[in-house]
Amino acid sequence: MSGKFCVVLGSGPDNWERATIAFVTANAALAVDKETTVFMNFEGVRLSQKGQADGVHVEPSEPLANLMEAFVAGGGKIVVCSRCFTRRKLDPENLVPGAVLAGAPKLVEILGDGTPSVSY
Amino acid sequence: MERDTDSPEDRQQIDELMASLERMATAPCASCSGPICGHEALFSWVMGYTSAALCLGCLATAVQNDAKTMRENLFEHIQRRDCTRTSWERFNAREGFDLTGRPGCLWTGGAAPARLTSAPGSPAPPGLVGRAAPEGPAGWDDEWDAGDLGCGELTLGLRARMNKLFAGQVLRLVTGDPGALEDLSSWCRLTGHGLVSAAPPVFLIRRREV
Repeated sequence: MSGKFCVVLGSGPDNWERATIAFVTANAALAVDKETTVFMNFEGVRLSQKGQADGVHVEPSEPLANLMEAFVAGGGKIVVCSRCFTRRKLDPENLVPGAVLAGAPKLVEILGDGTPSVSY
Repeated sequence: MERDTDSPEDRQQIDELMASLERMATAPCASCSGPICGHEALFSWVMGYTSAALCLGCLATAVQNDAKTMRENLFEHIQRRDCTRTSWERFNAREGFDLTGRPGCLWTGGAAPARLTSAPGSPAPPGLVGRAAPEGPAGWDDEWDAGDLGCGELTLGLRARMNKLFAGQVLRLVTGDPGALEDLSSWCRLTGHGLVSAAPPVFLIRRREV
């Protein structure tokens, strides 16, 4: 069984509930010591920007900013689709801590060995 | 030309290479099943096909290159290394061709012609081993300015260009894509090519040996 886990997050301001549960799930994977990556694409890339998650609180979950901080602090990796990022003209100087820009080749590497993934 | 000054280790290396090439040359082309000569086995080995050889035509198809151009590039490349040059000469001697020249099995017109020089002003064929001034820790053998190309488009184009290089040769890539550092690192890990240096937007990538 793979010791890795991947959450693909395609939702952001268009669906805060999906964005929140994505990080809830990612933290659950981290909690059992899986090497966990959140791959942001489409509207999910907006969460790569500092401050974007501030004030977002979809109950009964924890505030989204807290979930994201806990994820990175716990060793989780955030990979941001460079294609979706560029299309939305986001700021590479304003990435949240722990986030890196990458594209499909990176995703192929993450998932190519059979790592389980779930999409939100 | 084999020299009396070659060390026992050099001679052993050459003998081992010849043994591998002779083994490869006894089998038909791994792609079209046509006959191959020892020179084609050596061509295949240089291009990274070390277990089964391809004929010149299939080798060119496999790496998406022009056969005539690739033949010349490979000939020049082989002359630059003692082990491959000596193997080339042994096959020439065995097959009755001029020792250091281009054999009639791969070049038309019977007897191998004298070594040719490029016509003045002719462009360098792709993949020609001619190192440009090094920029960083290593020189390079070919280069590609990919502009802002990135993601899957970048790696697919890169695959085609790397396939045209000989094993061990280096490609200098320029790309403005912001995800290139991560993507190229991943791509190199997955393909076995070597990321020699990464200073975005400039990357040096070495073709894998096999």
